[in-house]
Amino acid sequence: MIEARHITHRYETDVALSDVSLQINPGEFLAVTGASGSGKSTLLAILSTLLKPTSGEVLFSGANISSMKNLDELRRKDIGFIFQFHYLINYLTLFENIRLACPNCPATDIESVLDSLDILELKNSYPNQVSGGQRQRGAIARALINKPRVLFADEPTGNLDSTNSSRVYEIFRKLCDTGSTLVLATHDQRISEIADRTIEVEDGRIL
Amino acid sequence: MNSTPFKALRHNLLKTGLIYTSLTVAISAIFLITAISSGIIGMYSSMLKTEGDIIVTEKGIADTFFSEVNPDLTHEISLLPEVESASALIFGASPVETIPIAGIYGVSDNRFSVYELTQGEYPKQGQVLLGHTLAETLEYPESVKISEISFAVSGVFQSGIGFEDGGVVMPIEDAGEIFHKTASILLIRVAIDTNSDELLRQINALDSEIEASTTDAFVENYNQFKIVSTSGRAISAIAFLMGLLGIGSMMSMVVNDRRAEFGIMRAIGISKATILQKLFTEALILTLASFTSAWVISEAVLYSLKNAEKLQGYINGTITTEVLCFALFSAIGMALLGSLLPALHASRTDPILLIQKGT
Repeated sequence: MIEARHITHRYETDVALSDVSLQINPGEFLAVTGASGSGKSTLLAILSTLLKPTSGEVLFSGANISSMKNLDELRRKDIGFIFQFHYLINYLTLFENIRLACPNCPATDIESVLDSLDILELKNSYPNQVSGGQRQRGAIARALINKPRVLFADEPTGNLDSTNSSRVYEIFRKLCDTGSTLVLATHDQRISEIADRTIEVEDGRIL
Repeated sequence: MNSTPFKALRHNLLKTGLIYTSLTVAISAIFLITAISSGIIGMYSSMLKTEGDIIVTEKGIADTFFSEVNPDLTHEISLLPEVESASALIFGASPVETIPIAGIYGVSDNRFSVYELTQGEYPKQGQVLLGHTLAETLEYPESVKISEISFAVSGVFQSGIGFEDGGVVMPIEDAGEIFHKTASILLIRVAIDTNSDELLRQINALDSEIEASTTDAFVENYNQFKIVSTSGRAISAIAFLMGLLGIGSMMSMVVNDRRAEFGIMRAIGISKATILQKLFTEALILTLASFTSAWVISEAVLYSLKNAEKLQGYINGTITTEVLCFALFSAIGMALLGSLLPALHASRTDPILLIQKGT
């Protein structure tokens, strides 16, 4: 589904990734682990179209992302993002935050996603009125509303306690079991217990 | 109706308030200066156009106050075909009793009828007619002192023109003694369908020292009006720029505060055009709110100025449909231009900022 070929990325003079090649299969739960500063988030950003590599190419279902002029449609329809911070918009309710990602979705679809994450009763709450774990589930709902083919998560449990972290991992596992592809970057080594495959990044290279 | 823009504005209440205030001040300034300058021009041109299709001034004079023409020409002009009436006027300004400055209009007898009496009768030699605003200010005196000369008040008139209602009308001979001239201008009323060019040629042929033109052309080319309207436009332009800078700088701060919001929008595939539209909508909502407030404030200020005793109704601006449209388009232009760069900046937010670099 996604193939990275000889990816190298530099931030000015610092090499964040060096000649990384990788293939991600449909329905796979891939965990990318590594210490802070190892380059795992950069790899995730490149695979998810947020960052253009300095050299190398990324293919999404066979199409070269670098040659795509408009990535908006790809991001809207095929890719979902979950970040370490929820990045929900504070002045919108959870329902409205999710609607932002899918303005034409029927309300029932939004409610269904919220229900699957056990936060339906909070749909009219604002992000600052719910707990950290509930906010992150709101962010997951926003990422799932368009039924993306691939979900990228960058340290999604970084701000959560162990109970909420386990809950989020359970949700991810369920998603992959129902056919979604998930790429997750974390320094939490426990992820290898639930991921289909774990790769470790160190000094910008896959070990 | 989509409530998201309203929620966004309410969320950033302080900055929204600052943008609203700076826009309201700028739009009020545009409203007031445009209304007052067009009011001044409107009042003066109304004075000239009353019973005056053609105006005769001294040749080469830029201001009617400095013009001097021979009032006897009215007799010769009256004899020309298609001329219905010709009257002579002296324009002047002088202290009247405790009022530091008031308009003094010396008019020939056949022009008194343009001033509608509310009490008394038209003046004879040694008498004056007071505009109703001035009469109220002076508490309807029996006599007034103008330039150290005392005149009996024969009556009070109302013309609806602020300059006249706050001034004094007297026989042209008395005004001539005060201002040491025989007449400032001549005003001529002509029959409908008159060939103006031919008539102007005939009037100009009567005296080489005079210049006749249609009142419309005179008003259009009058230097004093050009100065007033150019000054008005210049001050409006400054107000526009101030508003533009105000909204531009505040919107830049707002966009900077909301970078993560725009970053996540870009990350979930919301187009740059949609982000631009979102910010322009917010700016337009604020503009319309500011425009409405500025309109109300300006009406209140203009009412106060018109009724301020010390100003004698001389500052008599009206917010006409034309002024309203001008202010509205200026406000919309200000909002769109002012928010353009911040909105472009927001639409180009790189979603990579959501991921810590180098981790």
